[in-house]
Amino acid sequence: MSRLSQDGTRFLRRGLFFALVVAALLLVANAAYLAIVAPQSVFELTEQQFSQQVPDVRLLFMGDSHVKDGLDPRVIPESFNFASPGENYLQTYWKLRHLLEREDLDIQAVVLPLDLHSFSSTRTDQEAYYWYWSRYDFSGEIRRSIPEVSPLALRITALLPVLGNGLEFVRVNWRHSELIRGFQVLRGDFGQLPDKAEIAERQAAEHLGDATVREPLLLESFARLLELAADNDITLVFVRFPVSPQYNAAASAYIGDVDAFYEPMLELIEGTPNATFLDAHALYFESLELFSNSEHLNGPGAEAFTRYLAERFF
Amino acid sequence: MLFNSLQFLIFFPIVVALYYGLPQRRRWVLLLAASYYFYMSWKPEYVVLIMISTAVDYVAGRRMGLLKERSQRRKYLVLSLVSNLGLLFAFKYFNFFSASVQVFFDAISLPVELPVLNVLLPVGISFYTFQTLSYTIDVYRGRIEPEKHLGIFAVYVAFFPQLVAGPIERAGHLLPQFFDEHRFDPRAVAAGLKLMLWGYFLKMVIADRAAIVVDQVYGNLSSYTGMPLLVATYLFSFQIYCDFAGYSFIAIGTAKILGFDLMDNFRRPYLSQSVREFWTRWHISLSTWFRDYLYIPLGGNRVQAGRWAFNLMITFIISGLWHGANWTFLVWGALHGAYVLISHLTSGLRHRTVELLRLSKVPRVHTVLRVLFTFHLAAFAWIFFRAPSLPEAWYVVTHMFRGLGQGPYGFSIGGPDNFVLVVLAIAFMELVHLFEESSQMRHFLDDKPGLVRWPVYVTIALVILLFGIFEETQFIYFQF
Repeated sequence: MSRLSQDGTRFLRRGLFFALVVAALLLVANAAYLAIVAPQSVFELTEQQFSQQVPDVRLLFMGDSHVKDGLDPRVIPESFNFASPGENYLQTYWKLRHLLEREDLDIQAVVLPLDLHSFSSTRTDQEAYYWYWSRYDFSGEIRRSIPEVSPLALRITALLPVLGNGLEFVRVNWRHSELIRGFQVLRGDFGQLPDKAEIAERQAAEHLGDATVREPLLLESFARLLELAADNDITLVFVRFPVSPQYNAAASAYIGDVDAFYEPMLELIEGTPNATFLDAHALYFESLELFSNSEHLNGPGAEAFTRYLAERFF
Repeated sequence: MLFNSLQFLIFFPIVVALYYGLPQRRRWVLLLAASYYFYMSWKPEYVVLIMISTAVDYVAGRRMGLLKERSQRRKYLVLSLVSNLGLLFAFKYFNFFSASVQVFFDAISLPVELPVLNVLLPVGISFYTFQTLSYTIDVYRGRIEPEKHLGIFAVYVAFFPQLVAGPIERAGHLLPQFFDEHRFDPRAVAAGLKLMLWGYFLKMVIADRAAIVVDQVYGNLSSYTGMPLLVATYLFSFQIYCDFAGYSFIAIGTAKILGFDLMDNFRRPYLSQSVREFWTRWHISLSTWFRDYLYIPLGGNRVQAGRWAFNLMITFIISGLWHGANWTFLVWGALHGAYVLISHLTSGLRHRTVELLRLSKVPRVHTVLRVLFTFHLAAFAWIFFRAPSLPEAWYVVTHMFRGLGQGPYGFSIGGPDNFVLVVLAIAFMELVHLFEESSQMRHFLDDKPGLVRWPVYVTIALVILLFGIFEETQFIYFQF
């Protein structure tokens, strides 16, 4: 028995040493991730550019990639594109709330997306990029959308962003799109692509396939955004972004009755002072050269659309 | 609770510490509580189904033990079969049956509305019902003595390492182990940890990364043709292996750490040289179950050719349906049955072809060709396993070679880097498999000094941590 105990103790000691070696190497990799990958991410680059422009920002563009790639702040003075890929209303709400608490900022208006996929349950993947989102401190609410993920797991995700993200070390050298005042300039010409309908179907499926099209948590966050804006006397402009006719057809097929889909949100907007809605989804149906792919505007498209928006509101 | 969850990484060391801290006679209590907790962390109320299975089969086994004549025992066997298969039918097959009959009624314009049950499929129901059924059948046949200890029998049915996705154990192999005194054996624990490490690598690095491509393509089939369909189908072949074998390795490793020896479930199936051999390497615990409790009782191959073909096909078809209540699984099973049947019928022709092509002079080339051919037969059948419906499976079959020259789009789904990583990981796995065909990799490493062994294990652990998917994705076989 004593011999077994000695063996057991030695084994446990070795096991612990093995775990420490792995943990040490993981921490080194994590430090490398934070030093090399994270600062090059679109999230961090946006934050850096924002902090350089802080006192001069009055108009914010917030939301997901439709905003990130679709609104060029160079067109409108004192504006900044603070959107991020895949961002949902819950994240936007908390981000805006934090920004409004800052005394060095005087936000007067915010442009937000109100697209067919804006309330899709595919938008609630709160674990992705949680290392970034954790700074906005809404872990309690995140648990409502992903109850199966423990607070401990979320904490680990925030502290060790390298976990499962090793490929980002490779991707960091691939990012070629420019980022100007938070605006991501996409290249490409959707009009030149041969298989437009197939691309559109795939992109629509990514947003809406196998998903709840009106996720309650996102609807609630949308309503809270309106309240937050009203309380702080901010103008909100919700935009249904320009998309290609192919994408519109594919996405609408998932929604069914599009008018009925929009009805409750439009009622809320109408009931909120300084909130308005612009439906621009069909604006460039005949100008596919303004799109990078079936649903995202390219650089010239973003410039044209921002001018269109500015003429109407700013 | 998933093996690839943080919850399990906390749960398991606690169970191990308590297990070795308890005297042998009390350990079953811990294992039973841990197993029920493990299962209840998914859907608590469904533990009742396991309890029903346990109670019925315990009573049936005890009653059969009191009776000498088979004919007297039969009614208790029937009780066990009806209750277990009844549960399985109600929760897994009723809606499929109902929908299929409804289609028939509609076709003949019979105005009958058949009911549909709105129930969730209990995780692992096919596994534990088959495990407990093997117990009652073996008691009925007089191959094992009925278990007297209700607690230990309950642990046998619900043993958490293999409760939800196997290996489907036999009572004769697993039950006695609950009476053995397992001392903390560093070698066994180390072996178990290595198996778990390998299992996590297969699941989190290969299966879950391949799933990024496969799910995207198979979730939206109509918008793909050619290369994406081909790539997704190849990747699914590896995804399903790495997902299920990964689970099995983790299960076997987990049990080994607790001192239990579970049966092997996979032995490098994609190195099989025939479909028949494939079935001696793939999901071994299920294929041997069907062999022992269905194929052989039907007469096996000791019957006339026609009857043998029937026995074979019915075994494969039921094996297919075991995986799920869908016509796709039936076709998948039937395809494998047809493969074995055709292979048997054409053995003479194939032998002559090999001689004609002088392949017997180059046995290595012949072996490689056989392995590749078998793999492609299996991969083709996986289309029916993965596609949501038969029309969609047919779509894949008829569109996967269309427009192949239209560029490498299939490789970039989910990111080209993800694709390259998956391919490299698969290549590494297959290299290990090739090596293991002639030598046990783990034993090979065990003979080497720590300076060789440790970097290998540390590297695999780091690869899992850096490149694994940490989103607690379910194992595919949980749904069966």
